[in-house]
Amino acid sequence: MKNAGFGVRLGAHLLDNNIFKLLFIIPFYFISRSASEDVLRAGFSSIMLLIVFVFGVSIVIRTIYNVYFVSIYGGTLGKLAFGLKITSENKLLDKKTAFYRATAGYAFSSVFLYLGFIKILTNKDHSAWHDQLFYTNVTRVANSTAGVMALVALIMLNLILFLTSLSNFVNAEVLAILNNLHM
Amino acid sequence: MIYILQSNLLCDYNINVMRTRDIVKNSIYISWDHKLLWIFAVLAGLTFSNSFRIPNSSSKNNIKKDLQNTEMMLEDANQEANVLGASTQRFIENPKDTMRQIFVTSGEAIAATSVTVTVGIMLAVFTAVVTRNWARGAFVSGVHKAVNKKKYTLGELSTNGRVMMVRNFKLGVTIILLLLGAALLSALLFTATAAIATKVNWMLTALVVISIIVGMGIVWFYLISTTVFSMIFLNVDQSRVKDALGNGYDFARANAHRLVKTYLLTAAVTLGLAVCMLAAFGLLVVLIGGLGYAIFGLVYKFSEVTAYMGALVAGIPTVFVLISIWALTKGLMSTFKYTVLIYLFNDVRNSK
Repeated sequence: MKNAGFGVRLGAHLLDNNIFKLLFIIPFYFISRSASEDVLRAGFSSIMLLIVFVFGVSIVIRTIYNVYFVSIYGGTLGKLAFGLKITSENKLLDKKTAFYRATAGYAFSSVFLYLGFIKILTNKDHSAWHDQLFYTNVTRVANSTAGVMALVALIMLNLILFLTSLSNFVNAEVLAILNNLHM
Repeated sequence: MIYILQSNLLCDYNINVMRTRDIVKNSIYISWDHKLLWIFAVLAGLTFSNSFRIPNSSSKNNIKKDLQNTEMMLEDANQEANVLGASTQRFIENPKDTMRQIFVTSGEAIAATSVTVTVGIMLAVFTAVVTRNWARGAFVSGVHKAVNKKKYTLGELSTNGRVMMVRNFKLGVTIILLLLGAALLSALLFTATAAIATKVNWMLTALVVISIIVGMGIVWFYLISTTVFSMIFLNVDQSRVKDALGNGYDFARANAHRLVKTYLLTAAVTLGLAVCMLAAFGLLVVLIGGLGYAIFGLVYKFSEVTAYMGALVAGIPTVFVLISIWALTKGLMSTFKYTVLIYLFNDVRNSK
């Protein structure tokens, strides 16, 4: 079975990325909703802590998520939504191989300007370096409509939440400056 | 009779010199042709500065320097705060307090963050150890195949890496313990002998110090050679860690003369390569930096904000590209060094 092309795999990757971006943006949004001069003064440290916390969580969750979903369902949510399946000799990957692929494999492919991923474009069988390293195939088993729709929706949601949070913070900041001027 | 013996020795010596030169020359071509091995070398951390790092106080000094730099940066930030707007000033007018504030917000938040960060760091360290030892196995078997002009696939190298990962880890730990022990022993010996000698007279002290330095140099030469060749034995023969260490030491002892020559020649070529690469890299930095500065200056005339935004947007990928190029340069150098050593290893084995 032929490997999936670069475009679909990029789409799946972006979808996974946007799912994790949402992890960052949702708490950021809720903090911004209650942003006031006091929050800006006293809450700066809390925001910093939250960012570190979410970042730490996302690293842990992302690795576990990748290994678990790839070994149990044959792909991450992004890949499944885009109708992609990761297999090795027509079988699902065992947990060890999934772990190696997600850590050492991705590290190898991204060390030099993500050349290992770009190889999907130039290789005849559309295999990335991490696929060649662990004898894996990323095949297309369904169409990508659901994935494309989910990706567009998530990008829009992330953008709206981010811009709204930003404007909430700016408004609070302007109010704080105006209050200072009046005082 | 003496003449014949002398001429034979001379002849043998010349053949060896030629061989070493050929090894180095061929290694340059091999390491240039097998670029994928550079990436394995980068991931394996097989640079001389990394794998042969002797624990000393310089890292502590660096930390001290970093702390001093941070203090200076904080003072700079204080000064800059006067120029910046009122709202930003509030956060950076006393950065030390702000930093303290971050860590003294609330007990629960700190505990949660500490646990997450600790788990994250542990996972990152585990991943780094796995990747490093996997890459070591893959790299050495790849270089060995390249030296023997055998074809290989990424999958084959990766499988070798996986098979040898645990043994590479064990060897690494053993070597670190050995190096630490040697460092401790050298320091103790040096201090004790110097302390005793200073009480006698300064001539004796100088003599003792020189002989200790020479002795330590020899010990470190054998230790480093054993380290490198035990790793080669381990991954090429897929032997046990104990056997690999023994074989590595025997190899270093039996070929000390050739090893010194090879190290010196390799060091000279690497130094030349480093100078060339550094010059090219410097030129690239100057060109990109100059171009960036010129564009920044032009845009700055029209819009200050756009200029800074542009610098930020263009600066991050540029730094990323430069770091990648730098990493690959180090990868090339490591591949070259290990190609020379594996070539030598092969040459000695085949000549038996």
